[in-house]
Amino acid sequence: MIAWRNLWRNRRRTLFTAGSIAFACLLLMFSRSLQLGSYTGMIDAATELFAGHAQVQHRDFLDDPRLRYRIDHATALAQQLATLPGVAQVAPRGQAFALLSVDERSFGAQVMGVQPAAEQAISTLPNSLVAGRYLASGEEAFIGSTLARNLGAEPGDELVVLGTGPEGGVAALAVTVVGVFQTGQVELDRGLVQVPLDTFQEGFYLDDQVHQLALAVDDLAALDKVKASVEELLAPKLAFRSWQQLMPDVVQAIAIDRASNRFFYGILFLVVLFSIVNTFVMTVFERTREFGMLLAIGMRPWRLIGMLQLEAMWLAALGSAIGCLLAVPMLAWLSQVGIPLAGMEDLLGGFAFPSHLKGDVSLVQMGAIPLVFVIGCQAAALLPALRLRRLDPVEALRAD
Amino acid sequence: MSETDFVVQCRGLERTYHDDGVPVHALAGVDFDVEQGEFVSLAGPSGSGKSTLLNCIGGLDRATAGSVTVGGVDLATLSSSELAELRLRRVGFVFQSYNLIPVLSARENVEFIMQLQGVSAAERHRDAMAMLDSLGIGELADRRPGELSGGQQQRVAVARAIVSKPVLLLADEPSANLDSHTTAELLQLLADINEQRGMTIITATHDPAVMAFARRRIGLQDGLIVSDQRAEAGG
Repeated sequence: MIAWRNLWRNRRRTLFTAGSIAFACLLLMFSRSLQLGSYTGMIDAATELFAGHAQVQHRDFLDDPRLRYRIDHATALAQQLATLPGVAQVAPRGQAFALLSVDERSFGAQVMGVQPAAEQAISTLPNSLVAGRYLASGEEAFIGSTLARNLGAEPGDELVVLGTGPEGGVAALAVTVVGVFQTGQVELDRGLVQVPLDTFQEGFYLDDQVHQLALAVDDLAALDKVKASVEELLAPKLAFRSWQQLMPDVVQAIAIDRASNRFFYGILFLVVLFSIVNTFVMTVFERTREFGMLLAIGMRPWRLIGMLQLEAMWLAALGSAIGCLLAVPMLAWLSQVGIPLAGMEDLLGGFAFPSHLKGDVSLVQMGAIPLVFVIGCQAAALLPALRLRRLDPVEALRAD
Repeated sequence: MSETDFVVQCRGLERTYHDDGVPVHALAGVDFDVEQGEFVSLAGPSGSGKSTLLNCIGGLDRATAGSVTVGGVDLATLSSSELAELRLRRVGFVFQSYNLIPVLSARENVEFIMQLQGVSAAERHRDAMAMLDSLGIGELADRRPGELSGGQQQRVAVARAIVSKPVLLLADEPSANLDSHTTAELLQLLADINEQRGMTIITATHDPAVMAFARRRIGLQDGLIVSDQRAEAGG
């Protein structure tokens, strides 16, 4: 009680310090929510665009994507995977590097055989259509916009695909461009063409064989559980690859962003802590005579320090409570409505950002922020409070 | 009289400070005893050493040489923690500037020292109210120091000092901030405490009124006792 009352001896200073804690708390909660939301959006956009939440591949395919590192009996395995709990979609894909030609122009690119219906269920790539239509069946091609421009290809043009089969023979396809896509991701727009899986397998001399089984899961947070059940079905030469393994650049971008945000949070935290140190330096200075009296009547220095620590705790709790109260409506808006990124899709699409940036409110993450302030305030107040250990009551009683 | 009848015994007490490296002998060899129930005033001009002597007796300051014994305990043998315990349980302090805690009411100020002693809340409340009532300020119990006059604040300070029944009450210039009327009331209060409760009181003062009230007057000058007179208490 005395600690709480002491807090209000200098009402203006207490309100100022509590206000700075509240503001920092609010700012950190807003930033953290936005940060978490942007990661979720980035991961969703990246996984939904093409890669999926995970893939089953030959264990050597990720590091060395050769035609011969393939999955046998793909249809049966895909059907088994689709029945596993937590697995929402399975999309089989064949993949090979080939030379693409339209008339006199030729460019190298990835040719991917897909099942159009499965692909539309797992990937947003078919929705990135800028001309023509998506694949249906037969000898058709869906081509990236940059690649189409480089080749001078338009819907209706014939595209010749020349590659190497698994046994070294020439693999050849003649397909008609039916659609052009644009994702904003350079490597896809410039280097990918999709054809129906049947056509791909026929052209590249593959039987019931593919190179990826892309998976979408119901709950990304439960991916590890899905991994465990998927791995039980896999032959030794096959491997489960999570989105983190498939897209290390996204993981790296998040790691870099986390690091820079930690630096920002650290600076903000230090600024607030300095203001708290200042508050308690002033408190010790102003109440020196009182502390001298308390020591004179027999109060132990550690009890005095404890009293100041209690004042710091109240101060941090007050500031954090104000910050949290202000944060509730703001976080509700951020998580429900979010910040529109209208007009920035072209720029942000390349970085797999969503078009609408929403905050992610995690009770643990948000709750940690006021807790950190309460602990930080204790540390900040301890620095000046420790001076009381050496306070001479006789000298202190003479203080003005 | 046996050694144990003395509440305070000082033998060859010296206290030397260093002011910018220059030694200042605040006490230069003080010898005196205070018996149980005495009302002693330490008198002398500023710098004579009376506050230093009071601080040494109260365990706030340590002697450079010689010894101070309070209630049979040689203070030189006590650690800082033991000295704090002695001040908490056996010595009461009344300060010149009252030094009440401004955020606490009069009752809470009196209770505070009992809280430090670990007394239960109910007992604290009862004893504090009884003490304030006995000093005639029971109706001011819920007021904070800022709402009290100087004399009332000093009464609360006295209540705080004696509520835990110390063997010794030390008062450093208790009338310095009081007018003559309030000083007379305070002195009467101290005299009553001395007579009715048998509490040993030592004051440091240069106020003639306080000196006149004490039954024993010890004069100090340049850190030495220059006079030690016993007189009948007057008004």
